[in-house]
Amino acid sequence: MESETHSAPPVVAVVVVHDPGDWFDETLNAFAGQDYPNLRFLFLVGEGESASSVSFETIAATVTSRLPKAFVRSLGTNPGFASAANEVGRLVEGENGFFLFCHDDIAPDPTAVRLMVEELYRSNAGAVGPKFVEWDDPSVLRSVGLGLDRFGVIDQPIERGEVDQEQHDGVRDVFVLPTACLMVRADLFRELRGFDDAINFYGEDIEFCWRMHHSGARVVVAPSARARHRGLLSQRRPDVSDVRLAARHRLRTVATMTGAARLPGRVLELVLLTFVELAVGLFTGRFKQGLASLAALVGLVPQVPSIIARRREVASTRRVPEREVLGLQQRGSARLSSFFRTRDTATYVGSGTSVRRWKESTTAPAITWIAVLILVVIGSRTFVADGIPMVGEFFPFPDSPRDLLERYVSGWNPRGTGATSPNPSGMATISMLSFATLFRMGLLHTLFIVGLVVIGLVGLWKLATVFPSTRARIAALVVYAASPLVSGAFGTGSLHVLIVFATVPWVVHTLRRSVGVETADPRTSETDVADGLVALPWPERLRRTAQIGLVVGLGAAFEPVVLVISLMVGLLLAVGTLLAFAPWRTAARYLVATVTGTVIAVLLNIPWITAWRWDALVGPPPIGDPGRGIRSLASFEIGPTNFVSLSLALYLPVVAALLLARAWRLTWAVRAGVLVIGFGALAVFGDQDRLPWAAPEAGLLLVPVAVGVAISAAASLAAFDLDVRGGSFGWRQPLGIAASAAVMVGVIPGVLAVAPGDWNTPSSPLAELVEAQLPSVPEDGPGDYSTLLIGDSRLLPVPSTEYRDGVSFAVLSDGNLDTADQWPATDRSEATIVGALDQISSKSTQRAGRLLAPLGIRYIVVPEFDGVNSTTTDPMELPEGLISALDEQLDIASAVSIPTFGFFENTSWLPTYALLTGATADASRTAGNAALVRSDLSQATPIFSGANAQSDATSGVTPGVVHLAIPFDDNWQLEVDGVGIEPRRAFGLTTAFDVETAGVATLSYVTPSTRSAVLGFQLVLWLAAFFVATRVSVPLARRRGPLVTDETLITFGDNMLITDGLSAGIDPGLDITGQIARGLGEESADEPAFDSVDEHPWVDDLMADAIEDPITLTIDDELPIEPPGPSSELEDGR
Amino acid sequence: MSRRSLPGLVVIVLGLIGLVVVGRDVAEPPPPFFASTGGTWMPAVGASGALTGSWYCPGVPTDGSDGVGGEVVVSNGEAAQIVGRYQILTKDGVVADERFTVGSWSQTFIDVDAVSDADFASVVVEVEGGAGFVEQVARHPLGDSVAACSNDTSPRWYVASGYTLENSVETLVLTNPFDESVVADLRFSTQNRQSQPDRFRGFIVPPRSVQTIPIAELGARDEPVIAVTVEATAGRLVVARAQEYRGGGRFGYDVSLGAPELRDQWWFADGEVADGVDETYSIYNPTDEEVEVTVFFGGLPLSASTVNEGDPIVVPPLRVVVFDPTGSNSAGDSAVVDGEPAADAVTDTTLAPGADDGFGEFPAPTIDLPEGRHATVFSTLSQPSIVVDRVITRPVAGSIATSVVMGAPPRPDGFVANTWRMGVGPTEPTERALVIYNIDQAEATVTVSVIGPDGPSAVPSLSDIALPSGSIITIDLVDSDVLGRELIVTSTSRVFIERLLPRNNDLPGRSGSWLLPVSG
Repeated sequence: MESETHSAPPVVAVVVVHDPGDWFDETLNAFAGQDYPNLRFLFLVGEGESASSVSFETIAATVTSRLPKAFVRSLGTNPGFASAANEVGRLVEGENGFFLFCHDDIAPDPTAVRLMVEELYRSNAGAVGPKFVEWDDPSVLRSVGLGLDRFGVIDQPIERGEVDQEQHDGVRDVFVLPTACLMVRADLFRELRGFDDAINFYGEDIEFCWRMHHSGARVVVAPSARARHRGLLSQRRPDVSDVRLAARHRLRTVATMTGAARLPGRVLELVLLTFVELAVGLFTGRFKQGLASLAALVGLVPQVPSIIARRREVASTRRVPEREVLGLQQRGSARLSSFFRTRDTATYVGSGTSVRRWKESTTAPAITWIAVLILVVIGSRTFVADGIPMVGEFFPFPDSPRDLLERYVSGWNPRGTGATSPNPSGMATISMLSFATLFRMGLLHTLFIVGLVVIGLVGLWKLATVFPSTRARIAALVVYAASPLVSGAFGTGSLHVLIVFATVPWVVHTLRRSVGVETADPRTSETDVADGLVALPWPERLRRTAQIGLVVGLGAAFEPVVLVISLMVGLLLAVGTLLAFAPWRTAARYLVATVTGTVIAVLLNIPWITAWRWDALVGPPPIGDPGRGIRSLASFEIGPTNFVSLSLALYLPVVAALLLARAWRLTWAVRAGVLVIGFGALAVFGDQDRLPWAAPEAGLLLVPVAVGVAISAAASLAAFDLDVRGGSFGWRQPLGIAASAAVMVGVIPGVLAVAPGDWNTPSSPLAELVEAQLPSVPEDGPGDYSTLLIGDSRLLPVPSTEYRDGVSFAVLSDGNLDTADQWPATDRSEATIVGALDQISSKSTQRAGRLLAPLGIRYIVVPEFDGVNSTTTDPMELPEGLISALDEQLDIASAVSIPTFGFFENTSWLPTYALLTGATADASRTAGNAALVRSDLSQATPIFSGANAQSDATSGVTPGVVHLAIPFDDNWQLEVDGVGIEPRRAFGLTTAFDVETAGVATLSYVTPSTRSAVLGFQLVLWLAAFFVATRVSVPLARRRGPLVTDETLITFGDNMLITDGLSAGIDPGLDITGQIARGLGEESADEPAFDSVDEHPWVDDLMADAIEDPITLTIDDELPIEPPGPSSELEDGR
Repeated sequence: MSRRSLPGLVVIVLGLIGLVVVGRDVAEPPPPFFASTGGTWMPAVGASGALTGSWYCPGVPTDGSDGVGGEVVVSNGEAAQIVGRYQILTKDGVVADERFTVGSWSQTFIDVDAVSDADFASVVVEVEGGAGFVEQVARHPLGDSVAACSNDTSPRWYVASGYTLENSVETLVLTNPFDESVVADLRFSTQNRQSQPDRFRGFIVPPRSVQTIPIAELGARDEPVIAVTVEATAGRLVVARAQEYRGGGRFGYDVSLGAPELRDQWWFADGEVADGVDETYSIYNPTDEEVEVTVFFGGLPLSASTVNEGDPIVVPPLRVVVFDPTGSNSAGDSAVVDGEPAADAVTDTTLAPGADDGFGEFPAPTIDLPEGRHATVFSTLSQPSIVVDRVITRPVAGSIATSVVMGAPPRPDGFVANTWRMGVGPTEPTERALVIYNIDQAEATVTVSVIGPDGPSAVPSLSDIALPSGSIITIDLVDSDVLGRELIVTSTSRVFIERLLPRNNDLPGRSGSWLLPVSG
């Protein structure tokens, strides 16, 4: 071949390497095979942290074995591509050359570098990139340059899976070139100060190219240069959240690059777009992206200082009016438009490998989700329009979230008879959630209760992603949504069931993710893969375990029984895994993840855990006649639901899935079946009171059964799709069809249940009637009081204490009922009330009112009908003798006659805050029922009306006894004219202060210092768990030092390879605008750069685009590229 | 099917089947229970140890007339003193609210008419510790009447035998000891009708007050038998009747409690067949169902004991039947008092005397009782549904003395006491003061003890008195040691004991009442 006489500008390929896999050999071979004569390599190796990571020495040896002259340098830990690539600015000196930034998972064609250099010259571009094709299938396009909209969203001009038929092979300007293989002029790179260090992964290319456009440089794609790209960073770095990082960096780029005049409008657009994205994402399975955008948007706020600083940095490179740059961008929203025209890929786990395949493209999930949500809204339309009724546990949230938070912080729980108590974490959680509704608690209440169902459904949908079949996922979603548990929980006001309904799918989902069970490859059925199992590095495993802890901890913050159920779920999943002959290690990991997650959840609920007892964990014990029977249990009938027996059809898929499924579908079918059997057994035995311990109420235990049934439905449909359909006809086809039909039949009750619009809740809930009957406490009224509720625990509107079979009691403090009434303090007055009830039931006295008086109990309510558990047509039996025993009491008067409950007034009551004088003051120094029953309690005057723990109360007092009708608590303090008075026990139970002189008394509650410390610790735990679970990191200090300790490795200078004696020294710094283009001579920047270029024949040839092979070099294979001339400081590759 | 699926399939299918099998077996749980509702008994002396014991006295006349008044007697048969409190209630409310103390082995008398000038006054006594018992003495020119006070209140009360012939007066005394008003409905059954006057629908008894209702004012004049039901629709109360017998072959005065419950058995110890003795029983069925009542006469030689099992007394719904065992009743000369069917008994309906109301006449059982004392037991196999009063008029010293006593029921659990106590006894030697019926077919003995300053001691002359099986004996209280003292009568068998106390006021004859059984 005849030698050419062209010079070849130096190109330094900067390859950032991190823990490469087998493909790396191909990458190196591709680099080694480049035909460009003046190409040098700089490998920057970020070392992996796991034990399985490839060591730097191995990588260096591998590189130098193929590229002996290459420089290989360690970066220490992996700082991200941008920071690593920026090192080239220091390690390579000079501007007369090009940087070719490469990932370690590309394989450019042998001519790629040369063609890019050619095109860079030809197009007078600042950067040029190749056409990317799929690594495994080079006939499929991966990208040919990228577009970008003004919101920083990539617009992919090619369709997914588009076959390369050279249809995109025209050179053209693009907005973004991937850094997977990006050639940039060295001088331009230096002038732009490289990549943005703040962008470690995902998005550095967008930011850099955007700046290039602002600088006036062209960015072109040279499709004739081709590179294969593997591009599975999300799998190689599972610890790096692709979606969230991409969103965060995208918005940072938009905030940085958008001109000041347009920035406010752009921010508003982003806000709107984010909410549209959330809404659309909800229906399209891209909700995670929407959430990521929202988080990124919110995350901009704390970044404002750094964004301002960055804007100042890049301001100097803005040479092109912004409108011109905008003209290069896509119009509208690339994301929304891409939704309508593209489909997506997903990663599936096969036998030991991960593959990326096209997901099924269908609008069915979106339609299903829309239908499900519409039905939920239709079913709850009365709730949405009029607010949630006070049915069952649906007490309203307090008007003030601050009040709730203060209650949580103070440690004083006024519920019941009041006590210093480790208040439930749910109080604080609700307060925090109120930010979302701008502190509109009514709206939050509605969203919270209705939203629990949606949260549960989303969780189940996420769980169902283990099935790559759309039909299977839809079946799981619909079965769970149509479970009569939903209508039953709404109809009976069972907030606890809804919380468990929302939590359990997420528990199962996070558990399987923590174990590493991912969506299995649907094409691996022949290999009978038990699970699509991926090996997780321990940081990722820790992160996912922390997610379990957060999920369980959040659920337990409202309903402690979530802990028990989560433990059981994990145990049963492990059992199911073993029963399905899946690897025992998987089962062991389920157990470990469960235990660890539960421990985290427990810790997150410090200090509330100190108040947990078994009966608090499992909820009120089933009392009286819990016997729902097997039919009701199996059909999830926990409330009024019509045609509920049709739900029994849902058990056919449970068995069918076992018969039809293979591979991972079978594993999930067995796990689902074990969930059904395990929790079903607990529900049945608990229903029959055969368990040796108090069981959670049936509704709670049936939630995991519903999850199991939903998974079974998905498994059976997935099995039908993958294992049965298309096979020879036999019993499997009819069974599969029958299972599908059973799913359709089984969801009928749930669908019909939406018709009433109020889930059949009573129009006059018992709690509202009781609340209406209880008088308010005016300032000058008879004083604060409490109310004793007695009856069947299922009728009592608040958690109760069992007195005896079928009879429970609870105490309400005065004031409106709110959700905090669901969490009464540990009742230290329990024994007193039990003692009084004993005396009443044994007819030992007719003055039992006096026994209850010290607790401030003014009213006694015996619920009879709540319209849910007990109706006039199907009444529950009142405890025998209860009403008559109360009637017999001389100081307990039957106050009013209300058909729904018995209402009595204790005429001996003492106000909650009272000044006792005379005989009553003397009586307060006695103790015991015998003394109390003969006491004269008539000399009591109410004071401190409406006092609470959050603020001091003052009142004038005379000598006597200030009595607080709360169990003795020395955190309450009384001062009279500034002088503190020691508290003492009154009546052997309550709190009293002996006042010897008249004066102004101040009553206050002092929060124990230990509680403040514990709350601080709890906050730290939550933040830590959140950071670990979400990979949020707080950069404590920005690293400024070099990543590589070496000084300059390569110097651009006149090291252009001269092949024919032509003078080297062409400055490739050509630019369309000419603003930073510079020739060799003294030409002004105002002069067209082309003039300069034209002076050089090599370039002229290029510009003429007439040379097929403008750089044809004679390369002696035995003599690799010569090192540059004297100015080169080329060192040994190592 | 994958071989991997087999274990899971077996376990899950068997599990499902097992759950269905186990789940079908739903045991019927016991109904929730708080307190016994069937515990209402006749006034009884309970074991001490309760926090407090409350006694509700029927009421005594205190209108200030000569010879009218009354007192309440609190008896303490224990070594420890009793501390308590009493309230005297009248139609105007509480007129006295005092604490009191009863020393060991002694009694305290509360003079009611000293503080009340109302027609009637009732006393509520609360005793700390629950010891002791309370009785009342109503004084009246027609004779004194002793009655036990009630341990309990009730929303329903029944009186079986009112009487308003020839200026006789029956007054219902409704006592509300509670802090809330009682709203009650009253229903009457007489010889010819039963009615529920509108005026007595929703009749209000104010808190802590006493209301009286003269039956005659309701139009129930000149009735030989009037049965009354008082049913509180709100609250509980105590109902007594004050009966003045002034003619029609009856003469006397009685204040006693109504029946707080319907029962299926009523026992009487003091029946008598003798010349001039008029003994009748009023059987009141306030239910909506017809009731067949069997009557048994005991205390007789075995050969003479009789029961009408084959020929029961039929008591129609909402009817009262007067049963005259000897057929000599001059007032209700038939075993049947006519009335109208239950279905028509809701509103005030009146039938002319003798009009046919659709019910046939029920022939009195044919019973041939021997001369002398006998016990009587009325029972029904129906649910507790009847109340039975006995009215007995005895000729004495050229006059007559009429006494009405409601039967004594066994405790709901079947218990019949063998120890009975009385705080009010004769103050002068009285023969045949106690009538004791041994309900067991076993020989027994009876001992009478007196509570003295040093505690109870058996009266030597009244110790180990033979009590033949199933027999009735009478005991004379003539020993000075027992006069005016609290007595304890103990038997080695189960017994019912009535006392026949002088009517005082220089009136001949006796007034009957029950002693108080000691609850086991």
